[in-house]
Amino acid sequence: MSATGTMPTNPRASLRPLARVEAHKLIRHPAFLAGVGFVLVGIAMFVRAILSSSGSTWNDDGWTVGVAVAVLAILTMVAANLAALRDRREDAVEQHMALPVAQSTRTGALIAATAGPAMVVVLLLAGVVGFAISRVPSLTAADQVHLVERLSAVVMLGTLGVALAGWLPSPFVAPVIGWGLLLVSPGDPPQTWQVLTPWASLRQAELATWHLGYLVGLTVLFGVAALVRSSRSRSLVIAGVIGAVAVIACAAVLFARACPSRTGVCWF
Amino acid sequence: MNVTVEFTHLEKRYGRVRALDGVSCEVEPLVTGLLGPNGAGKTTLMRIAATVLAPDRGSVRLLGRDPSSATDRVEIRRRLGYMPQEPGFYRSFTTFAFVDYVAILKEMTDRASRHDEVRRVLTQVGLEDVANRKVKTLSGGMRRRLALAQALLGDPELLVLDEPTAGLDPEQRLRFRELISQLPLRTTVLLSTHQTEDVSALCERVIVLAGGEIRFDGTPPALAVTAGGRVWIADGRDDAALLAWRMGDGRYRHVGNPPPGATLVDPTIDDAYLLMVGDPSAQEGAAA
Repeated sequence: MSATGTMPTNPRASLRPLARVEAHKLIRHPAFLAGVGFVLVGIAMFVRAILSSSGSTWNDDGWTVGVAVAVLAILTMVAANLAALRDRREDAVEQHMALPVAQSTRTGALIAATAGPAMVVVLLLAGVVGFAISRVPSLTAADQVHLVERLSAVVMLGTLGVALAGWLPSPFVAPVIGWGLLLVSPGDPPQTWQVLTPWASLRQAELATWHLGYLVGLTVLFGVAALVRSSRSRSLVIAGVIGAVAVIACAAVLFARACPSRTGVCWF
Repeated sequence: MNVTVEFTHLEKRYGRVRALDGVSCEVEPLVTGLLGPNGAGKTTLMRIAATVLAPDRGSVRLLGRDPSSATDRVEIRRRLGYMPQEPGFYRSFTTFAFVDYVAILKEMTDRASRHDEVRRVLTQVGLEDVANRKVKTLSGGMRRRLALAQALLGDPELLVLDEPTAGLDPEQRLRFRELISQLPLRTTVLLSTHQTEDVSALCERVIVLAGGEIRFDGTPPALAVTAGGRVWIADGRDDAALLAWRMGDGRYRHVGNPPPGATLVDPTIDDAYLLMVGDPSAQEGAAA
């Protein structure tokens, strides 16, 4: 057909180049760049604490990095949401409907594009973790899981941003939800239900791992919710069931073990 | 010649408004113009031809395939270029990046050849010098050419252009004509327009649509002939005419039923179109 002769036989072959374009757009989005700024400030505060005190621990002083990455995750959600709403915002829906790439492929590419922000977070954290390991002896297993959790929260909230664009197509929804997520952050002492918030930092490595599983399950569920708007397949149903089982199982374990006495004494 | 677009008894309603009322026609690989007043059903027909809208009744075949089948629809879209009446643009993208994005959506996955194709269509529409400018900085005419560029990606066999010359200055319109006339002969171009000059200059065939029905289907000269004996010139305005206007030389050109002894002149497509669709003000709001 084409002058270029590049028609693929696999209709999903466009997913990778689309995801690459969307990832580049995400990591250059002003909202995401603002999040990167927060992380740099958080890292600077942590490094300053390490350098100025010999008794620093990741748990005591690393919270600035954790909070900053949480903010970046929320801003990633806003950026992904705006990217997913782009056709609607720019009145390009009809024009792009006449093109062969399916909407489900475009949604899949947006979800895959959240790997871009995640990679940026990895690069930002790799440096600070390397520095912290050389200076702070107490980077525990739980601390390490928390770092992976923050990373997975970036992907999870990015995917939520894409799903929200399909179900509640307004650019105001994601910022409101993001603000709400900040408000439900665990306080001191934390409430039992707050174990289900993305930012619950459980002190035991095993519980933190269950919380990580809970976040991964949510990511799968949000991904299915985004894709099911334009495509209904058996594999999506299976993925949805797996995500739901993971979320329920991990939440059950967290409820049972993070706050065993139901007296408000929680291990996070 | 092989038929590439086939509409059979198409009907489409928007609520109580009938946009298409039993439209049937076959189109071959040539430039076919669709003329009609606002609300005639042109855009509805173009959307159906672009696979973005399904008729309520009737059947459609595009490039030998049935767009109501999901598999066929994808195959048609691979060979289709569409420029809607109100194109959408990603304003924060550069001109090149926007067309490149559409090229990916046209399943052009190889980066190097895709970029060559993007450069080719940008050159074709004369936007190569603004390839790195943000879309939001382009003028209205440039944006229309950008919409045309994305439609031309991949040398489509079926090109559906809904009012492509709206907002273009005279030079750009002439360039557009040149561009369309340079398309491969195998290309079927469906062109909706209000500009009768474009139809005269470009189209081998013209379909006049009014009130959701086809009023005329033939060549542009044949359309002009339908007004034979109903166009005359007089020194003053004759109220019996459907429409009359004063020309540059101070005399009046009349369209309608001439009075006895009127000085008849050769009709143009404009004259024939006016007579065919009747009083334009009566057509307002007839259909979406």
